[in-house]
Amino acid sequence: MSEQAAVRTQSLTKWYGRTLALDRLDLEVRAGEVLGFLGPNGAGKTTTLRLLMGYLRPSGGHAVVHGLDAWRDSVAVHASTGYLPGDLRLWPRLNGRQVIGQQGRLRGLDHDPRSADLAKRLDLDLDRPVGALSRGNRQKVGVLLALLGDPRVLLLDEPTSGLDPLIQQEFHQVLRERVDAGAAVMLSSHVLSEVERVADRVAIIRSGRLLMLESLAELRQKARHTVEVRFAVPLPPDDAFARVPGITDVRMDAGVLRCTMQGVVDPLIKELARYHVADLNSRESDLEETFLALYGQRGQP
Amino acid sequence: MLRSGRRSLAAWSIAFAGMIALYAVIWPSVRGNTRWRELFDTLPQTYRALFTAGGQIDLSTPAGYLGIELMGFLGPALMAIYAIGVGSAAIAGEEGRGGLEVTLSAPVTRTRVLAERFAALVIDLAVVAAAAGAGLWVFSLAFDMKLGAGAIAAAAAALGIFGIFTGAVALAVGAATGSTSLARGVASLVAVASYLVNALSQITTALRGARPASPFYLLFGNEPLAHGLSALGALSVLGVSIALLACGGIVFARRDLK
Repeated sequence: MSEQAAVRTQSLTKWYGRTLALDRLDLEVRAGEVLGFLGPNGAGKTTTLRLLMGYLRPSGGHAVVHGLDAWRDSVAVHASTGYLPGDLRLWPRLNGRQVIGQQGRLRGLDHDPRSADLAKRLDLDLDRPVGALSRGNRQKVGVLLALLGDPRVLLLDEPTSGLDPLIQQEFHQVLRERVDAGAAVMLSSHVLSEVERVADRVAIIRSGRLLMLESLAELRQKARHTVEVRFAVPLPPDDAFARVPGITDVRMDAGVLRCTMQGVVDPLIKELARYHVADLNSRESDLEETFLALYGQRGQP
Repeated sequence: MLRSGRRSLAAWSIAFAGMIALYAVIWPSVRGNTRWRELFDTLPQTYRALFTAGGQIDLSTPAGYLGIELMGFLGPALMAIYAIGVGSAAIAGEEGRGGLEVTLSAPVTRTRVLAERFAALVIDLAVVAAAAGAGLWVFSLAFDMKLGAGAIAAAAAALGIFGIFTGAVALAVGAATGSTSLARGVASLVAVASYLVNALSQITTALRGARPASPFYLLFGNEPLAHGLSALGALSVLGVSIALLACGGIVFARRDLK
């Protein structure tokens, strides 16, 4: 465990009655990075974030923010943490300004000039009652609340749900600025493409268990290539490529080879060189497919 | 929550004063009607107990008349309904609607949030009780009911404290469980039980021992409009309210949020 971990879970476990929601989760988020927290719905992402907020008491292990226990010292943790709930619900009759004023006062802030600035960047009208706002605009109020007082830790549960793509981009830009200033961000999502755009590292969770935790670069190395090769006569034998390291899903059909390569393509190229190649097409599958493949391989309980 | 709360507070205050106005308007026609009083006196003790908190009542006086009509059942009942609504919404209701998670993301303890919600409840109830008191004062003047300032204050205080008690039960149960329906159910049950224990203990000896434990008896048994509020009774109801709230707070601070 590194010294500068802003957020850390140690064998964090949560039972709801007889249901195991989180199983010995070990994670850390360092200052100055975005950790993408990925998993299907019901995987335990929200449970983890709520444990970090001290809303839930761990059944085992610890949730630690800035060295403080998230359950016992939740007030001190909240002083340096911004939180966006996954299912954000606000007071419908208050307008954005009033909601932000109310939460600001609880944080001892009379007025945060950054809120108005941020509202402008996200194209949010602070004078309309929250109940009259669209889901996306309500989500923006939630984003403003989470960023109130410039917290050093941000725990964001599906923050971009409901935001349109342009606003998402601006939001990611805002996050990047905060991270560059030293904030630690933990952002949950069930969409890999979002995490791909904004995260430095990715934790994948399923059924309450951590499947993997690695950098985006590492994840990309695991990305697969879909390769299609058309041969000229004489055609290679049907089983010519079956033993190439890293090859899967080999199909040879009328002089056309279709296969998937995991990691580097080099072994296949070396083997292809022995035949007459008329055409070659290699496409990197996106992380979405990689992600699904990892789920398929290691995700089954 | 803040704004909708303010609107309903205004509505309840006006309704309370309006109800008193209605009784006051009828008073001149009731005053001279001795037959009504005779009818009441012929009622079996069982029925009379259900209408009067203390049992001894003089219908020919405004204090007696309002004691039956206002203080014996309807006033406390309305106060309890309002207080239970506000008390159950304050923590459990907001938790169910999702707003509590946002409030508690600030650096504040759950205990502080609960204490502030209780303080807000007390202020709301003080406003409604003050509206009731103002109604009594204005219509007492208008219809020559000659209620003393002390009696009016005692009646308003009794109503307000009954609200604080029932509201505190709802707030405490809601904070401890996070369930609005449980908070409402338990608090309503407690309010009804405290009324029934007082009423039935005037009829059967079996419940006589339980009567001093009924907040309804402690607040209204002395007939506050006629004889003032029992300070000991009022203080003990307030004490019990705060003790219940503290118990709710202890559980609230230690449980998982929903």
